[in-house]
Amino acid sequence: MPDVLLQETTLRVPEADIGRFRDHIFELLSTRTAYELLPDSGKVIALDSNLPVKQAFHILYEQGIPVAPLLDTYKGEFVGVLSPLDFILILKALSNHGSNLAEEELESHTISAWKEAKQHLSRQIVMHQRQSQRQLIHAEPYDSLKDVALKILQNQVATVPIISSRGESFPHLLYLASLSEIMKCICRHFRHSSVSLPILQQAICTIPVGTWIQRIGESNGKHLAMLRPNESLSSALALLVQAQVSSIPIIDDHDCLLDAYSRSDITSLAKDNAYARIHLDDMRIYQALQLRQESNSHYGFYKGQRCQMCLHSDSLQKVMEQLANPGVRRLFVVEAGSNRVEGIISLSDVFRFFFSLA
Amino acid sequence: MGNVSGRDEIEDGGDDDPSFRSRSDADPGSIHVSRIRSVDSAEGWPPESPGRSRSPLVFAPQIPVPPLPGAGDAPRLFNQQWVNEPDQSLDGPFEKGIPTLITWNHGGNVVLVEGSWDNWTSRKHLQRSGKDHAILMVLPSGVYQYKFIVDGQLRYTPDLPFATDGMGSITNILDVHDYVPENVESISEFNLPPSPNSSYSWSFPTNEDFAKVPPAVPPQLHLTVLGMQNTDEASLKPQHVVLNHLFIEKGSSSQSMVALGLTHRFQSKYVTVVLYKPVNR
Repeated sequence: MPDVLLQETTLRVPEADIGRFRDHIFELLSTRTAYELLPDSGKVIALDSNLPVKQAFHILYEQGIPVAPLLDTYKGEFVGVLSPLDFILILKALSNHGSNLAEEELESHTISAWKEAKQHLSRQIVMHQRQSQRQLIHAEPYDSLKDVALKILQNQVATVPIISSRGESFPHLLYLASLSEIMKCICRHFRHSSVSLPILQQAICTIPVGTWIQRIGESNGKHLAMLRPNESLSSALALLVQAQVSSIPIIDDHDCLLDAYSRSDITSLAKDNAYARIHLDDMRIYQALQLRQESNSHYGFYKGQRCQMCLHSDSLQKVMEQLANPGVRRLFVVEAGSNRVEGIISLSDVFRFFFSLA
Repeated sequence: MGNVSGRDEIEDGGDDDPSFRSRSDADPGSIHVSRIRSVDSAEGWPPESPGRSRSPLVFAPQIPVPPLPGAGDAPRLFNQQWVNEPDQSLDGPFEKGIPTLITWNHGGNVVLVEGSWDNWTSRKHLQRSGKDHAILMVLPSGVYQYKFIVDGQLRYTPDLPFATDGMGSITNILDVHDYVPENVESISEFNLPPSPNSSYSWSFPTNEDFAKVPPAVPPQLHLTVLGMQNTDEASLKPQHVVLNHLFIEKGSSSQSMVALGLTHRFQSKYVTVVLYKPVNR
């Protein structure tokens, strides 16, 4: 069986096809603007940056959202976003200091105080290649979709708030854009179009996109990080931060996919104040997954399924259509039948391929 | 519906209908029906939405009227009475079909259309009315290429969006949206009444004033999309009357945090922003 797979991977897509495809996508995204992503009637939740971190944690959990923009009411400006990574770092920082995750600590720290502390922390710990910015990363409603996508990729974020501030007396928060909606726009364009792009029908394992275990697909050099369910939550959180990934597949002893732990699952620790009662080192991943199951959050679910899967033989178009579904950020490539994990393809992987970024 | 009336006239008979001709003379580029007709002949439209049927309102809510077909638009209908054409076979998974009108205004006797909706396999006749030809297609949301066959010749219309495909030939492009965009120009600005005749000499409210029961909230303000749990309901367009009103979450008075909500319009889209703020007690 490995020989058959090797044969498939040697049928690489011709460079000319890739080039035509990239040109087409580039043109499509350059002519459309962020305004088109806005739904007819949409809702955005924002937080005052002077809210205590604990309350912010609970709001995100109760509203079932992973990310919220931060408004500094004194300045009258949006100054950043609160994301799951912030909570992961806060919990790790508090547990590193040896104290129990006392509720008082989280209650007294405001979000803005945390963001300042994070700046100090980032000088001590090498977390990301990007410099920590005090500038809000945002897009205007008439920026092209190409600019919005590049902003998301280059700043390694999941969402970008769309804020109308040019020519306005105060900034209008309109929407939180992510690569998912841009992918939906692209798929809509190709679905019934007769533009001939043979690359769309190529098997995904022949295209240099995604992270794969060896010998199956074109590896991008990154190691595919996976964990067992009985490993500690703190190891999962450490891996999420250090490997700069947003989700880790949880596998059994035969490397078969059971579930996935994502950064956004951290908010499920707010259920019944679980974060205050546990030690990150003691809690097991399967317990954290159970907590998430009990929470009301539907974020990250599509049609009731948490992990979206595909086969290595699926076409590029099919993979793109799956990634365009709301709430889906990554696909786990599994072996048919056994669910053995072969690779992961995320939205940012595909967009990096579109723009020929590393 | 305006276009419904137009179709009736097409069936009644083309060149001899003077009223239809006079309208088409007014705007030679497309089938043009006056706006007043469209409101009069609307039957069973707009569709009753749950939010509206529950309201104790007397006034009629604003109805977004689809924009009239113009040179730059792909014209579209939004009438629930149209049913899917039985001979329409669409490949692939079933998606909600949206009625869309395709028109040809450059003469000819027999006009057909073929397109990428069924991968160019079939051609459909357009119905003729005088010099204009039209067909109603029901298509899922997406982007399509199509061509006209006018008296046996492949043609495209420069009135509607077109592009060259990779092979050097020109096709028209149809972008079918699954919503009716708000026609922003048709919304007239609310004329603010002048300030009432009074001076700025009123005294500051005292505790007695605050003890009085505040006036009741006008019932139409209860139609806010805030607090709607069901996401289907919440994605309906908000009533214009609740725009730019600041709402506060009930029960916030005892907590250290308050939730404020505001719905406003940005171009043709509506945005509801909820802000959580700490409150100093």
